[in-house]
Amino acid sequence: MNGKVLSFYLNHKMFGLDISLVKEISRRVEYSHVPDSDPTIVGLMNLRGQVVSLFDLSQILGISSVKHELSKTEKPSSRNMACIILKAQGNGSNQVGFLIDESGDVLDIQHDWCEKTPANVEEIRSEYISEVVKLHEKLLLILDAERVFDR
Amino acid sequence: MIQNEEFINEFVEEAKSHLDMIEAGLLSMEEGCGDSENINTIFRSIHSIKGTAGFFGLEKIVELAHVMENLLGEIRNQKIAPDSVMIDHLLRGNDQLKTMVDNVTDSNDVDVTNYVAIFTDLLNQETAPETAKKLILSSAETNHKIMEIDQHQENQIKKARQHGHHLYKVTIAMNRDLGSEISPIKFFKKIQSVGEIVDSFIDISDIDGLDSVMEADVVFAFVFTTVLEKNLLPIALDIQDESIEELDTETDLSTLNLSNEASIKKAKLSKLTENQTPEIIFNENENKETQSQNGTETISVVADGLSVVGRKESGSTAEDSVRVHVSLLNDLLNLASEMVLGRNQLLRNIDQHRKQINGLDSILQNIDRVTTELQEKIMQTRMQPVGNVFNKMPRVIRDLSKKLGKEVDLIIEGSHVELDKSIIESLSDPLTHLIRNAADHGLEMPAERKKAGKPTKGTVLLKAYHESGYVHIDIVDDGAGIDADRIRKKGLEKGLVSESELKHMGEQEVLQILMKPGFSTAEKITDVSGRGVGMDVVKTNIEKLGGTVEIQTKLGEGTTFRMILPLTLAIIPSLIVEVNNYKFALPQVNLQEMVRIKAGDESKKIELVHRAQVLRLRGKLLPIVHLGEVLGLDQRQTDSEGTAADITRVLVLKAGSKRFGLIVDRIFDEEEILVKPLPKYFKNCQGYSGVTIMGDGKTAMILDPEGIVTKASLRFTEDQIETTQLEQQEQTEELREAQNLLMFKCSGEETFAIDLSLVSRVEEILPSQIEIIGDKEYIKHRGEALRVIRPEQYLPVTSKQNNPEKLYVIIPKLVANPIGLIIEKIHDTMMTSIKLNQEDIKGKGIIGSTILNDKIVLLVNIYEIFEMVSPDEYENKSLKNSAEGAVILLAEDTPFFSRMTKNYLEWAGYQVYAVENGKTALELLKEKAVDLVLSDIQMPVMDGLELAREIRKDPDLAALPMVALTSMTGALDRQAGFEAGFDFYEFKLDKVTILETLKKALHLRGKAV
Repeated sequence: MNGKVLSFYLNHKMFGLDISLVKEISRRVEYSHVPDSDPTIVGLMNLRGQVVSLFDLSQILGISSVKHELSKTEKPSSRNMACIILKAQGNGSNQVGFLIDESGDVLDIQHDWCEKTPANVEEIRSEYISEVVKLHEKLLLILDAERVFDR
Repeated sequence: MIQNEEFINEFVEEAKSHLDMIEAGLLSMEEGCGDSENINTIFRSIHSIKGTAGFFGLEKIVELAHVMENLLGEIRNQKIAPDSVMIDHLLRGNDQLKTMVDNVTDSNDVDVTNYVAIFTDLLNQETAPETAKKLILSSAETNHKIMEIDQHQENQIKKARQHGHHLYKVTIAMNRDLGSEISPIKFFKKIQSVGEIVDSFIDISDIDGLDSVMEADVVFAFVFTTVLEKNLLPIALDIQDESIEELDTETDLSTLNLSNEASIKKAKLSKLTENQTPEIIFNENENKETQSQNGTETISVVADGLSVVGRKESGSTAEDSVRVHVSLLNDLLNLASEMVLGRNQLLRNIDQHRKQINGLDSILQNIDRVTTELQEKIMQTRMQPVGNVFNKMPRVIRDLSKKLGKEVDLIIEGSHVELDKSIIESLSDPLTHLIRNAADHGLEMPAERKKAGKPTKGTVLLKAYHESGYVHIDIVDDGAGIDADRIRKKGLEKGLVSESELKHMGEQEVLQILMKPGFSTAEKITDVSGRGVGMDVVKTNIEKLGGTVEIQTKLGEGTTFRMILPLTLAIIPSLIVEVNNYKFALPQVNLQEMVRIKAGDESKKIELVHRAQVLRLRGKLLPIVHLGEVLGLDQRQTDSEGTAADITRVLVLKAGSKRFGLIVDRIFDEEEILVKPLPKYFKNCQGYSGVTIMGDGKTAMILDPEGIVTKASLRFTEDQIETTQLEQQEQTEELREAQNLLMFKCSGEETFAIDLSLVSRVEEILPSQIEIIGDKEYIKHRGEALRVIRPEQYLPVTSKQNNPEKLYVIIPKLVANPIGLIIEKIHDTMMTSIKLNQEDIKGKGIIGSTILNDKIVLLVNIYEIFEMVSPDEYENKSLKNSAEGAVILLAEDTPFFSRMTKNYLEWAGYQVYAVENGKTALELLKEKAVDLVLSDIQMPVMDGLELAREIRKDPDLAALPMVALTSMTGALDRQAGFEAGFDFYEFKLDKVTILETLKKALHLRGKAV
């Protein structure tokens, strides 16, 4: 791809997301866990009157850390965490966001830096990664948001 | 042709409302309403459709509308008397127009020749070929003939001329003159606002050469009369001078030049019938059209369902309404709710500083009030009268009654009741189905009705009304009723229920089988209904709206289907409950009562049947579900008998026909919550129906009782537990007459309750509005002085000086000289059947105490309070001990009323036997001698009506005087009471009147006994 990518960290790995999909980054997230819901959903948050479903991306990607495991069994929570909220698709009743450890920079990506996900990426569910970007010091995995949240 | 989509939409909406109007008009015409107002309305509507459709080149619509118009024109001219065949055709034509308007882009491909032929035939049959005098209008300037006019138009022009009107013809090229700024419809109306249109047509008389044809502009011509001078018209209509031509009105119309007919190329819109009648539009006064016609209410259907009220046209420019897109309203609604939340947060956070900052208090109050009002107003914009759906029903009934050979009277009541737009929209199908059902299955054939001694004409009543925060819609027929046994049999046959299930089912539940998929009881399957689909769809649709469907039936007397709907989809009253620190919202509509179980209380305890928990509630067993357990949260209480806590809180819920108890940890207040749809990621969670954001800004899930049942019973079957034997029939009947209580606080700490049926209204007032005259306090209420009192000054309770910013006044119902009660806080209203404790807390003015929401609540006897306040007026000493020991049997199931009534009967000197229902009343009558029976109507086991009938049947008792004592004071209820055999029918608690009536009743029958 070509253009701006928002980078973020999840379980010490760097990921990227097409910035045109991002609505906002929210710090100090307050959310309420929903009992009996899908294990990958950490809860619901009130974003200025819009209900946002918050996901545990690390679990979806299969890289969950101990820290995130904890969040599920917690009581309705208001922990200081950051999250990325995506722009609403369709009628807006299905707003989604996901928790991140830390947000990174906005990077300009050029087409020729990108490659399809190599076949031997094993530790991550590679179907959710659209591309891998070769940055100078490390690799940036670009998230296929549509795949992740349109399951 | 004009392709502007917005204009076309405008046309479609406008045309739809006209078509509805035509339909209503035709139907009332058929019922014999041949008055000219009605036919004119129809005529104007069809003409408007024709006229505006012409603007858009919708030829087929124009063609069809035109032939219909011709026929209607003759009816209007009283040349043709409409018969039902003709009206049939007109209705069918109207339907066809509807279809075409609905799909306006393809309407030109529709073949309407059939209709055209029919209407032309009708016209030809009925009118003798009358080529008589057709008058010609000619131009004052060129002396060219403009058009032919008929009698009507001639009269119109003559009349107009007498009033100093001029006659003009205006030619408008749609694209050139109007462009995309003004819609043709608006222009049409503009002309109507300055004058009266005589005729309108597409004018191609100016299109001579190829050039103008190439331009392909639609040129429309209007002939109209107005008082305006020619030089003013261009300004008034915002068009160019040249398009206006003054017509000759000075010459006597009958001598108009007939000669150069050929010089005019006047084209009507399409190849129309030969003997067409030119037409008139009266200045459309749409207000008139919205008035009721012939008893049935005709509601103006406002396009797009917004709160556009009464499209009045005042002057030529100002419009009273604006068309707004629904999505904008939805956004506004969301924002308003956000604002409410914001306000709540602000108030909470700033509360402790209120006193520190001067003037802050009043600012906060102001914000508080404005926000609430803002939200209310925005909610209102989405409200629409149910009449929008109701007015489709006369047609449904008409068609059905013809098809089925039944005579059906449809009575519509409460068309003005408003519901949220989204609910109104989804109501059409279920309602149509229920109406069809009532006419098809409910009502018998005329012959059968005659045999049963009923009038051959059946009645279907469609009625909407408000009831405890919900809108009820009743569909009542006076047909054969539903035979529960047949449903049982059929249910078994079709495998919808098992025999063991049936055994445990109450009447209501059996009736609910009707609404299972695949059920149909009609002996004969007609093409009207009875295809085995439908009732289940009705049920699902209504439940989707957050409502419920109830069925009541009496064999041989009829059936009532009752839909109970929330006022709006968006905001519903809910109870906030908590489990494991998770908060949930529970819709009040599902809540029947709350039970608080203390450990060790033998009368109410949770017991185990196999491994299923049940609650013994008033002697009956109720299955118990732990909310935490259902949601997979709580494992603590599964193996114990609820011993984990001292107090267990059980919510008795109703989901469809299923009743069950739901155990929660804590119960909070009632909150009006804004319902947001469940995100799709939660679709697998059965227990929820939506999400809401609460006052503290956190999200909470909205519980779905139906889903909880499914989830919970799933586990039951896994565990192979047989459900316990529930005698639910009696249980549901026991709850039939629940009381509706208003809970409030005065200045002290005590919580009071008063039965809502005693309350006329509750007004909010400011303390400054109270005026003191002498030692009494008054407020102004509806232009009159109303005495107000503070109940705490008369009751044995605490009082304080709180100086609240606002107060409320409860204005009681049905007293001769009302006195308002000043209260400080309204807690809640609650539908519940209470257990009254009359021993612990006593005092004049208090009936007793009960526990609601974990609080002690004192039930107030306002009549006793009034007696204390103003003994002369209320106590009416003359009645005291006036009864000379006559014996009265009082049948009343609600302890509250029973107690109260007994009190004053004894005060008056009667000897009273009190029983809880008709059956016990009859038993008592066998043993004891009684002088008079005073009975409630709604009671479990045997109601008052049945009691009355039984008594009148019994030769020993037949002469006993009977007085009905009820809160149902409708004329129909009254009628039913008298028919059953009551001598008098009185409203509960109207003490003086009742005592007077009793005297009269004793006197009346006294001699005969």
